[in-house]
Amino acid sequence: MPSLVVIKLALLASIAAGISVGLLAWRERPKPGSVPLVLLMAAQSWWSAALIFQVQAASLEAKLFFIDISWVGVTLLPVAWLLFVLEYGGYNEYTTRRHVAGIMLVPAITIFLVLTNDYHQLVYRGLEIIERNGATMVSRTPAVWFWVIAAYTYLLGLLGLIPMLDLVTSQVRSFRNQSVALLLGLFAPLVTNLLFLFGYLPTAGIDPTPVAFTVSGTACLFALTRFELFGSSPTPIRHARRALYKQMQEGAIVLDTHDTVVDMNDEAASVLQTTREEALGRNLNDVSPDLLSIGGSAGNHVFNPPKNTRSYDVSESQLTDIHDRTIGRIITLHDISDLFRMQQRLEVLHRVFRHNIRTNIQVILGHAGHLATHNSQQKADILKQNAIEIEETGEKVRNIIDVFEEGRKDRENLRLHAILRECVDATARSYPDVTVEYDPGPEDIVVDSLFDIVCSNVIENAAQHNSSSEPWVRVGVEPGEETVTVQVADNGPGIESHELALVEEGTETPLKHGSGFGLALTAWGADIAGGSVAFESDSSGTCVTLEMPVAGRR
Amino acid sequence: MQANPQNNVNGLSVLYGLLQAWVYRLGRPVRDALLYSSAYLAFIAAGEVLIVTELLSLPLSPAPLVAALLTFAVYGNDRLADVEADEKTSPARAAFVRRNQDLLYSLSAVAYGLGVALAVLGGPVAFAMAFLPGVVWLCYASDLFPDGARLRPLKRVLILNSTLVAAVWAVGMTFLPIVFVGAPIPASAPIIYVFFFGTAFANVEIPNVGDRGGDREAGVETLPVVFGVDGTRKALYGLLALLAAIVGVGFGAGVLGLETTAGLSVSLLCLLTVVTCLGRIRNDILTVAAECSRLPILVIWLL
Repeated sequence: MPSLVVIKLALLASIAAGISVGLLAWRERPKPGSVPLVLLMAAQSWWSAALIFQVQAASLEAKLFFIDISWVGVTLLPVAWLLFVLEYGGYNEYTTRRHVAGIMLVPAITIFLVLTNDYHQLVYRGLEIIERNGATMVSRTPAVWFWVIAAYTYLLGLLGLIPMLDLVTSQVRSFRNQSVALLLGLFAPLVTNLLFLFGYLPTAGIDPTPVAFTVSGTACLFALTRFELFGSSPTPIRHARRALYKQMQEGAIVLDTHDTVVDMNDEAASVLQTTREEALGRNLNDVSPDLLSIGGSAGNHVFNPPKNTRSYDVSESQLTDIHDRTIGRIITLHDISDLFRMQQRLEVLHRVFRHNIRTNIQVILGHAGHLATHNSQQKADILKQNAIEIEETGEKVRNIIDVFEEGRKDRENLRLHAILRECVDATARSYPDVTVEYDPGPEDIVVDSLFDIVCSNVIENAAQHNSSSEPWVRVGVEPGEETVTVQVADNGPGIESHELALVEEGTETPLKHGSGFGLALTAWGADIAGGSVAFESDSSGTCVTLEMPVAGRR
Repeated sequence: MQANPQNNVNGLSVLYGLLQAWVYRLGRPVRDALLYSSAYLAFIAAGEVLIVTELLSLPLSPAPLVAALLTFAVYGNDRLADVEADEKTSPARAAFVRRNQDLLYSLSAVAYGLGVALAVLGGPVAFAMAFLPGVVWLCYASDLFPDGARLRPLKRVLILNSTLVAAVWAVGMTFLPIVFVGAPIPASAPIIYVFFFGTAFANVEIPNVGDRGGDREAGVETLPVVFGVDGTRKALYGLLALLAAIVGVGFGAGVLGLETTAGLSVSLLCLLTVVTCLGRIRNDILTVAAECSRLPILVIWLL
């Protein structure tokens, strides 16, 4: 049996290590795990000190008193250990006040029962005075609650092992070293306590567990100084993974092998027009049968949710365990609506361009043959007119491509009043026969500069295609809180319905002239700038309503 | 052929110069470490506990070592906490602390751990007393009160700041050796406590003379900030006169022996000399001199 002097020296070393490590951890606040480590070291030191006082105490009452107060340290130790590991490992969701209160419940009951043990004897059933090596020690017979708190202590200790074991296999060497050092710090007192409880340590009733905490303190000190315990911390790993999963732009759905939804992020829930709570635990076939059929198919991977204009590219990856067995799959939904829309617009642009060019070329070819044999001024004029139209078509396509390019850039904001004033004046100068009226709204509204092109195009088109005997164009502004509405009305012949369909739905339509370009530029430009456009048209005129987001006021 | 005595003289002076340079090179880092890390205060604390042990006729115990370790830990931390304020008032000390801040903090932590562990040998009261300097330093140095609170940090309150430090210092010096050996409190202990409290109070205010610019900026109220150097000198004269009167009364009442009274009087004279020199000699020299003012007793006994 080790002499009393050796045990006391070991306990003193345990206190010295505990206080030192506690202070070093205190300096690291508020890094995750620092405060629980301070508590852990404080509890260890408290227990060790109480044990020394118990050995040194002269009277039986004093010895019993120090045994009783040692329970504060004994019960706080596993709680502090668990909280330390949870914080250090990044499991902060389990370290809220509510959780801490829950974890502290059994220790609190224990301390109450220890202090009132004389009335119920739930912790101890009796005591025995032991004389060894000139020291008087008290040995108490454990009762039912003693084993409850012992089991609870081991449960918390082992729960704390889980995140640690996860880090032992980390790819980051410093985390591996840290966790190995901390595991050593945990196992030393655990093994010592087990050996003591089952009578394998001849320590004359002195629980040597706090002595073993010297190893814990040293291991923590080593982890602090050598492995930068708080210098490099694995805490963000779990949060980053979770945050990445929750905040990623793609929707993600985790399915088990039976296609049961086991997890999904907010984006996926939004795409499927459901909530996580509603979808979890249900079969994907019940949540979204269309998606399930796409996920399993080899060809088409585009998902168009019902009652939704957006399109998603569906990809799938298998989940396997360490034995390479498939345990589920992850379906990701990548929003390709913008890509789709752009592709659609380019197709429309291409169709209109080819249609107009082909029409002009056919006219030119037809009349060129005639001009080869006949000298006709009229035919020459037609040829010239068609050549000009080809040039204009090219110019209009160039304008639309410019709008697409602008859409990819960071744009400045302009005052709406300045935009409209400029457009109205320019149109009035270009078309003097048309009466252009402008009812200006507030002068401080600022909008996306892309609306400059859009407004210019709408106002100019209204004047250009107006074949009325007394043509007029009226421009009005209706300001709102977040949006501003610009209305451009004219008394022209109206827009053909098939041309409106072209920009509103992108449907295949044989065009008769190039006005489709103007409509396309208006609709697409407004959309790219975050606004919208609506057309009301009949034989008595057209009213184009542009709704624009207000970018500010100045 | 006769040797030129001039050569010998030159050779000796070169040797002397080399020796002086070597001593300077070796001695300067040691001096810096002792002075700037507050290690010298640990030796002073140990010496003072030894003095009290002798004054109260107590058996030798680990109390001087505990006092030394706790003093080093608390003052080491204080140096770290004040490093920014020291940039203006004590740039050399601030530079040393910045260079060695991790080592200084680690050593302070280990010193506190060892101090507390050794205090356990003195029983529960000594164990509790070992935490007192740390807890009080936290209250003193930390801004525990939120901004806008009606209470100000203790460090900034006139007289209360110095009183707090002096009270804790005097408790440690006077009662730790008593508690350690489990002896009853002797009749002379309260007078010894008051003496140590008063001289420690003076020791806190003396360095404030040099720090008054920085303290004024930081909003810390000290005697030199509020009353100026002359005012501080007069206040400390008054304090020393009061202490001398208490020692005199203690001797007259038979509570203090002749040797004890003589020893305390020598200390008061040393401190009086330091106070007289306030504002007239470099303050860093006076600070160390004031802190060493109680040690002559020990030197007299040793001799």
